[in-house]
Amino acid sequence: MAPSADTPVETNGASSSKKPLTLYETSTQYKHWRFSASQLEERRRRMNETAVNAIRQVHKAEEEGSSSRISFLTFDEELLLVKQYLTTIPKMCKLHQFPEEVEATAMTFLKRFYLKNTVMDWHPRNVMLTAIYLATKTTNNPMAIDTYVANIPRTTANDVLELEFLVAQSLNFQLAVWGPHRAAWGVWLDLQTLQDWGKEEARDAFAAVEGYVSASRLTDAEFIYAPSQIAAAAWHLANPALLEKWLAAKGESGALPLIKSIASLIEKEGKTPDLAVARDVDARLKICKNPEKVEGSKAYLRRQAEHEQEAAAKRQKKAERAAKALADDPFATEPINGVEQNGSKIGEVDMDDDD
Amino acid sequence: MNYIQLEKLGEGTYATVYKGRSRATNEIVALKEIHLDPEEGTPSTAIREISLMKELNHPNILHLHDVIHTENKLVLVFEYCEQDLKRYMDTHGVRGALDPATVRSFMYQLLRGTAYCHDNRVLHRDLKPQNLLINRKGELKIGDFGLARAYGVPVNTYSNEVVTLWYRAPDVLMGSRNYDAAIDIWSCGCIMAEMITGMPLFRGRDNPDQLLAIMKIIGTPEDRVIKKMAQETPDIQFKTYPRFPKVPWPNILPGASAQACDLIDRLLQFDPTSRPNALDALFHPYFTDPTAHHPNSTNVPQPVPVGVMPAPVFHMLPNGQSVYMPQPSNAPGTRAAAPQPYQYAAMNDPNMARHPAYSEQGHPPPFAGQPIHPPQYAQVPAYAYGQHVHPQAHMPAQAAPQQQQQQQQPQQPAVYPVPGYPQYPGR
Repeated sequence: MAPSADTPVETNGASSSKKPLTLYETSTQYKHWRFSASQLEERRRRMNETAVNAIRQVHKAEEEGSSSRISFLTFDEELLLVKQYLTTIPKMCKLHQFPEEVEATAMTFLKRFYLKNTVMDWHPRNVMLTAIYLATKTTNNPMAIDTYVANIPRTTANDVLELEFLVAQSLNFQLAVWGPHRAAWGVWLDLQTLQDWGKEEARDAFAAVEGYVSASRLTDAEFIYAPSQIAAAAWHLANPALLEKWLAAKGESGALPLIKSIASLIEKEGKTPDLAVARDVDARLKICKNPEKVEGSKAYLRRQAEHEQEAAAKRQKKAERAAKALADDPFATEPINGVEQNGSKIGEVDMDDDD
Repeated sequence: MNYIQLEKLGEGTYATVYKGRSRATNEIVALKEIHLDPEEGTPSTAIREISLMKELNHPNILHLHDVIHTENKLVLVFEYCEQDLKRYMDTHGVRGALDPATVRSFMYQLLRGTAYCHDNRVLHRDLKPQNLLINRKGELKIGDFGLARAYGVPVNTYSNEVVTLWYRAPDVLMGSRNYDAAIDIWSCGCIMAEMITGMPLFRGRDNPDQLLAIMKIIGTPEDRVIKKMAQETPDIQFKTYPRFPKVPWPNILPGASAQACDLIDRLLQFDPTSRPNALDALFHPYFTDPTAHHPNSTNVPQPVPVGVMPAPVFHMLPNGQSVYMPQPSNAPGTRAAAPQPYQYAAMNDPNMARHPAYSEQGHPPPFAGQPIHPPQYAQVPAYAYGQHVHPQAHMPAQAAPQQQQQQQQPQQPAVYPVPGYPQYPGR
């Protein structure tokens, strides 16, 4: 998962020298969730291809005729749909009065989820709801599930909870997220210690910075750059002169070209996608989504039956094993925890079993 | 995922813990099985614990190997430790009391793990002997993250919850909701006293009673201290409390060394801003001074397990004296800032200057070649916090400061059995 050949931009060169690691560099975000732009594209392209091939196979097995007439989503279209749902997260968070931390974390979760899954398997609407709910728990803003879904139309508690494991596992249970909003706040505090900072000017700029930080969450910036770099870019967009003053004070003026490139990325990508286009993609998704994931479809039922069979076989195997162990010991009326008998332990529970 | 579940080890508030064995490596692990909550699915405490533990990686923090889930349950796979500190004290101690060398080693490890947490902006909030795990090698691991109370939840006064109450800082008991790392430091102090005596230090029945139990030992703080705390944390209400005198630590902790008493005194400061941070505490002479040992034992310094205690970092001054200078932890406004990472890294860096008394190989006889001095606490200079003198630096020139000190306080009543018990400023 960690990028190897195509290493992303180094953060301030800190990791190349033998200096001790910063807090950020010891985080799971730094270790496992950084990519270069080309790695991201490659990853999404490959995942899309794999998904389309798999779904074609399912259709073939269904004998519902050829899938050649179905127009599958491309990876850009998938990304566009995810982005559309990313823009919904701030609204949902406002509705529930969650702090910015929840919003930032949930948006990161959604983006990370779709680096490992395709929208054709899991529709972003419910994944988004689950991502927000998981973010409330991660950031210590817990809310009862019934209260949460009460404000969301056509949603049951089960819709949110049934995806919880899936989402958490796709994130590798690496739930702690570092967002640029904290860094942007840090720059704001730093500015106040400078000699000649214009109070009014800086305050206005900070208000704008918050907007740019939100916009940056719609982009891939967080996968490519450090939170502090993105925050600096947001300040650059809000007030370039102030940021340059800050950089000079920090002795980091050399970072300006990098910050400018991040700023242009935010300006270019940090926009809400065209709703009409997103609607069109969503409509096509109804046709091309993986039938195995559509409840009630033939493929879905077949898959369920397969699962059931596997589980039954496993149960039987386990029962046989226990019966055999019991039969070997004429005195045992019930299995004793952890007692070794004929090489097999009784009372051991196979954690693989879901039954 | 391939773990075999063995016997049950315990039942927590939101989880059941089993012993387990890896099929692949035969390694013994602890399997923490999370109960799902009808109110919120996976409990937020579990999610919080996972998210914190995934980021923390330190020899004194219980390691989270893996998170596995099956269709209907979530299992956290932790490294296995034989006992928690409570049980260790019951089985290894004399009526629960541990010997000074063990106390010193465990305290060092506890503070090191705590310093690492605080470095990573993590407050444990629930440090107590039951949450500290001891493995066969005598390594202490802080566990049970996420069982800690959420920020700002009022203190529970139900009787079954009082255990946690005993390690709760007075500022929290008085209603503070914006507490910080200092609450963990308080718990460390309580745990240290408990290891020395075998008994919990402050055993209150409920919230107000706990506060009284604290004041009966460390004394009622002066009004100006409480006023200052009330000013700094608006949640704290200024009240008048019954006046209790401070009980000298040697009376509470019979047999403890002067330096152990001094460290406890610093950790258990009523005012949270007066407590040292965990990193500063690691450089207290209790840990760094090779003459720090049990006054009733022989004059050989107690050994500290090798590998458990890295050498402190000393700076050479131009005059040849080497001094460690931690950050001033009492300066207003500085304590909120986390310690700089370099301090930590320096401690773990094998290339940094090693303390001569703690070499890699073990413990050479102190002051090799010189006759071993009987314990003379008057020789341990009173030090100002923030100026930890190199333990050997004062040895040749100790006569003068010793005389001076004794002249200054000739009539001091023998409250402490140790005449040179350090006096510290600002109290």
